[in-house]
Parts: sequence; structure tokens; C-alpha cells
Amino acid sequence: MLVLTIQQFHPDQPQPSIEDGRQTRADVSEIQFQPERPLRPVPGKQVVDTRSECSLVAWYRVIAHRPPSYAHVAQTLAISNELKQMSRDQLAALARTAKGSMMDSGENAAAIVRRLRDEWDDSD
Amino acid sequence: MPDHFFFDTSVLIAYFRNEDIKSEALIEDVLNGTAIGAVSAITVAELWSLKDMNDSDIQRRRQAVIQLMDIVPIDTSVAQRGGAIRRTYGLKLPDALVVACCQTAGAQFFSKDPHFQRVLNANEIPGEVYS
Repeated sequence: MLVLTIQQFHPDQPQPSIEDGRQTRADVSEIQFQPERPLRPVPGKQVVDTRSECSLVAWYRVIAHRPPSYAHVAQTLAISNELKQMSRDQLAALARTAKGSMMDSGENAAAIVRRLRDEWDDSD
Repeated sequence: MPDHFFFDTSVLIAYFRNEDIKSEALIEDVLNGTAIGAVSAITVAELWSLKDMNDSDIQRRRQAVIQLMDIVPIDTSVAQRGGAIRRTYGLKLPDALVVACCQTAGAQFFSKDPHFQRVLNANEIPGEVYS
């Protein structure tokens, strides 16, 4: 069984170290081009995304190529790793603090979403 | 069996804006485990496109909300159904993909956007548009 685990990831580091389970470390690009290899989460280990192999590989692809959006991806990844360590109750308590986190711009929620979707698809 | 809710982006943003009691109650049902919540990957993209998500503390709190929900991806089946829904109802593509994701989730749909009323009236999905 192949195990992929990000160790000591921090957005400021040039590249996360990755443990391959069989090898001590594996290069990001090596994993990136082997999406057919089975990926499985390991209890107690910090895994980037256990939901699907595709999303895990996609994370590595973005990290390896470091496009301009890398800083945002790194931020999401770091937060995701932190949240995965929380219990459900801790997560729910944190989630409740999101209520009221958006400043009033004068637009209500429906108008904000309509503007986002009109910008995306204005063909109607 | 817990209720199974599917939220359009407008419900999440209303919660973040503390806009109304209904949105708060729906999200709270998911946070306390009374209901199972789901959103489309479209909603995740829309939330992540908001400018204030550059603030890591704000992102952390909102990401916790999303982490307690199922995220329905846009796979080939959803994409095909979304295209058909757009063709049938004249919805914008993101709206149509959200409806297709809700069908995949098999959940009750909630939105604050009246554009969805026509698919609800046609019984395409069960749910409610509220203000």
C-alpha cells in the first residue's frame, strides 16, 4: 500500500517534504505523473486530501508548478491541514465564528451570487 | 435519519453576512449534526473568489463550515445533466450545474435566489427559495 503524507508543510517553505511509505521521500513531480497509483489515508497521519486521488494529485500539481495563485493554494492547504486535526465539536465551534464574518457591502447574498454568476456567464 | 440539505451559495453568504434567521438555522442544523449539509464545487469556487478570503483568519472560519459539509464535484455526469438543465430552463450555466449537483446529492435544495424558483416549480428538485 502506497502512503502519501505531507510532513511539516508550511506555506513559506519552497516545497513540502513528502513521504512515500515505501521510499523515505519522493519528489513532488514524481508523484504528480503517477496518478494511477493507489492513494490511501492512514489514521493518525496528516494527509492533504483523503477524499479522492484526483484532488490529491491536483494539489501536488499546483504545488510543484507554483503558478501565481500558489500563495492562495498554500494558504488553503495549511488551513485544511490544521482543520483536519480538529474534532467535530471544535470544527463546529470554529464554523460558528464564520457567522457575521462578511462586511456589509450594501448587496444582499442573492445579489452577490447573481453578480458572480452574471460575470461568469453573461450569454443569456 | 437526519435531514439532508443542499445549499446554494446564497445561503452560505447570507450566513457569513448574518443576514437572516432562516440561513442561520439551516447552517446550525448542519453544524450541530441534526442535518447533513452539501454544496456544489461551484459554491466552493464562488466562496473562494470573494476578496476577503485573502484574510487567512476569515478563510479559516469559513473553511470550517465547508469542511462539515459534503462537496459534490462536477464530474461528467453532473456536467451533462447541468447542460440539459440549462437547455431546458434557460438557467445560467453555474445555476444549472448547482441544480445538477443537488440532484446528485439527493437532498433538499435551499437558495435565496429567485432564479431557482422555476426549477422548483417544475419539480426538478425538492426545496425552497426564501428571502
